[in-house]
Amino acid sequence: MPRNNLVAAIDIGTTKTVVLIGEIQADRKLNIIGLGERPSAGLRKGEILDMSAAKEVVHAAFADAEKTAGLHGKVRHAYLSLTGSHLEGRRYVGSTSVAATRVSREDIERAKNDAKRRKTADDRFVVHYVRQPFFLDGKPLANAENMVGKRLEVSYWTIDAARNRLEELLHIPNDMGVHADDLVVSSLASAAMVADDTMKRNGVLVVDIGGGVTDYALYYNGYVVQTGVIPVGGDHITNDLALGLRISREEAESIKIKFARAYIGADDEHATVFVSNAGSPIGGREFYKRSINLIVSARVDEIFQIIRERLGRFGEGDRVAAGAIITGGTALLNGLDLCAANALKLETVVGQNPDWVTEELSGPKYSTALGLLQYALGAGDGARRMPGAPAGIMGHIRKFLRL
Amino acid sequence: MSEQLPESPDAEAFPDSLDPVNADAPESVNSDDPQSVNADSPAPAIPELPDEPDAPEAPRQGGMPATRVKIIGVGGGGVNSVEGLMSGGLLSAETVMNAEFAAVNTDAQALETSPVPERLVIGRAQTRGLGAGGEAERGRAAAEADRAAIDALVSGVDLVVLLVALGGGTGSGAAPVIAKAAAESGAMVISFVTLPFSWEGDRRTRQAHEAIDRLRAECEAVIPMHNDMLLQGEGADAPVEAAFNRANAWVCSGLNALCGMLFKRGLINIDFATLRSALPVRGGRTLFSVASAEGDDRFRLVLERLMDCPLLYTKDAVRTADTLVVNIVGGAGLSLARVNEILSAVKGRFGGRENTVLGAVIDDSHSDFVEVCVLGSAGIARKINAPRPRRPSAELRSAPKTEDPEGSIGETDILAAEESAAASEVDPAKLAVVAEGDAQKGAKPRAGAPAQTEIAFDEPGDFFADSHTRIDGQDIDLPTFLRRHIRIRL
Repeated sequence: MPRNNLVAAIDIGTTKTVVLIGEIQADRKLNIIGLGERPSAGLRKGEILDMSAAKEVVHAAFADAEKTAGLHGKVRHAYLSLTGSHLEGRRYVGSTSVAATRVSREDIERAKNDAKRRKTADDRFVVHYVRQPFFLDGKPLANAENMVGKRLEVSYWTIDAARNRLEELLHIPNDMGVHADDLVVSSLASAAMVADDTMKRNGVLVVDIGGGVTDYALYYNGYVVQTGVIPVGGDHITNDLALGLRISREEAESIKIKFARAYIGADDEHATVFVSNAGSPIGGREFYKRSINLIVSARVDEIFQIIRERLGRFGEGDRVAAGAIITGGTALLNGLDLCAANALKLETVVGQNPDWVTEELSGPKYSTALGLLQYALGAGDGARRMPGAPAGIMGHIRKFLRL
Repeated sequence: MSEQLPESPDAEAFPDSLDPVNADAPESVNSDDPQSVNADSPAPAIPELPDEPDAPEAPRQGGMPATRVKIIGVGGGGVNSVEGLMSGGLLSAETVMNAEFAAVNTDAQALETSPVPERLVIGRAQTRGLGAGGEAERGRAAAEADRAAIDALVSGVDLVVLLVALGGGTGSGAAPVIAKAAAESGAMVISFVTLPFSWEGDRRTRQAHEAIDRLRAECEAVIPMHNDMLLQGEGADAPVEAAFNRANAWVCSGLNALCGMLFKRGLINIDFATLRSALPVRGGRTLFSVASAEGDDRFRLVLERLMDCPLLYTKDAVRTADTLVVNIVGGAGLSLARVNEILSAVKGRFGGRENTVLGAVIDDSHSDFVEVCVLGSAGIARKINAPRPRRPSAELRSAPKTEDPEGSIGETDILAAEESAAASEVDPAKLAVVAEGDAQKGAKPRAGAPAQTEIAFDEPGDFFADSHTRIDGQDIDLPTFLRRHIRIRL
């Protein structure tokens, strides 16, 4: 049933929407056969403000992707990325006494259920339970089954979302007859692309800076330790430039792309750049590079300072040996890695998508969509699920939302 | 009240109007003079160009002596500029109809073929009509020698606009003399000047800067345009004329805004005395910006572009002013609410705490168009309370002000000022438009409100308001550099 193994990755960002179509063969092989990319509409800070505008763009990007794949109307399953400041992550610990001397499957189930027992508020819904290691009598274990001990603990990094936001998001594929197989938090999807297992074992921070929001995920010992969303992204840099330099957003965006750098260089002091007036036949202006870079570096520094503060002791260098990896559209900002390294006190690089990704999709702005396909293939951090597979969290969500 | 106030029912709502001209000549206001502006009639027929450009008291709108505006090009570049304006098609009908054009040069031959109606060769005795040879001193001597002719040229003119390309001899030397003559005759003087390209050499640059300092001392406003800056947007191989054309485009916008304020029938009119009250002293630094926008997003765009105006960012321009003249021209969608929104945004960005004068005009011919012009003066706050003496005619037409004798505008009740201004200044013919657009307070004319033409607002505008996210007590959507108090040099 080759056609049934077609799956779309839909990454609805604040500034752009990316749809990839993947063909999954023999459960293990992924071919990317379609790409649709459109500037987003109707979103701010990762959340939908204007449903019909957002939907129109996603549907158009989806149609583009189907067209490039030569599969008009054939793709019926999708993975969606999830972001926005309505997402909340926290760690829940469950525990149980081991019934016999060795840990049984029942013990493990009991501990897991204990960790998941907490009720969320009526307007919230858990989208991810990301399991962290077992602790048997305080000793961390990847797999506790058949090990000897008395007290078994298991913790989950639990991410819940606002029910309304979820519902809005799910209406988008639903309204074009596409089944949402799963939702994956953007930071986890991106991390699946830019960080490998070794990095995750050694400790790595993945930061995805998009247009409207910054998603981050911290891994340690191969597990997700923490995730988060900061409702600040590249658009804020543009806005700051527009306000600081008293220019239009369009000009600010152009300055950001062409000239901005996220740190102050020695040569910035008296250097200037000239920008002609957009939309006006007369004039144009000169700007000090230092002014541009002061504005940009202040904002970028702040984003990473907020992340550092939220990570607390988990973000300290000895626990994050593989350093920080930046991805997302704003990762291309000149000097971002230096500014981030300085704020986070971690070694920082701009992430690379894996080698198997074609040149066309190698840019950091595709990390999330590619990561979604990786999840669809079943190699992500969560439970493995094939397109069309029932149950899982999506089954609950669907029931919950009566979709 | 202003001399442009159209004949309208609410003219009678102010029997004790302080407008001295109305008091002196009520018949002329209500006369059947075909040139008087009638609120009930469609847009007034375009009056013909006066045959005598320097007829001092040519009766125009409302049968009152009209404000006389004379645009004088000084020196080769300045005369070219006037010629460019006259033939360029960028000037508005109000400007062409109401302004007089003149040219002053030491080069007799250049003037001979000029299409400018009023031409004056200065310094024939000194230069034999051969020009000033790039020497400002010679240009000045030429102007001093023909001071009587210059006095005659500016006599009776209310607003003298000088166009000068600084750096050369005549422009740099004669322009300050002409400005002085005009100022002494009681005129308000505004100069648009271009500064030489840097490759023209130190001497011309120095000459230009000396001239600009002299001009500032004599002018209410000096708007400098750097040729380097004007050309920078053009690419490396742009012809020098490109800078000239750009400079002229700015001058046109500025002149159109000034003449639009004074001569176009408006939602809120500015008469000459009011304009003058906003630029009360000479020698200040000038803020000047003009921008226009079309389309649904025009009210946001025009404010953005106003902040973009390159004339704000020249080396010696100021970015906030003590006094401001704000003129807004818009299509039928320009409601009082919009006018207030624009005004508070403009004040938020440019200042104008000492005195802000607002003009607003509805131009029915462009429905989704808006143009905003801001002219301000900075570094004069302490001088404001001692304005220089005005000649009697200007005093006679001076409109009553909201400020008390000490000039402390801050005590004016903002809402009262807003409402009464609306009541006294709104053209009833346009009220339908206002009422349709927004349910706006002040849309109804109110009897008994004091007549006034100045509006004082103290609240800085914040048109970047958005829905904000707080992190650790900080409004994260505000630029970080602002919250961290990082100074950004422009």
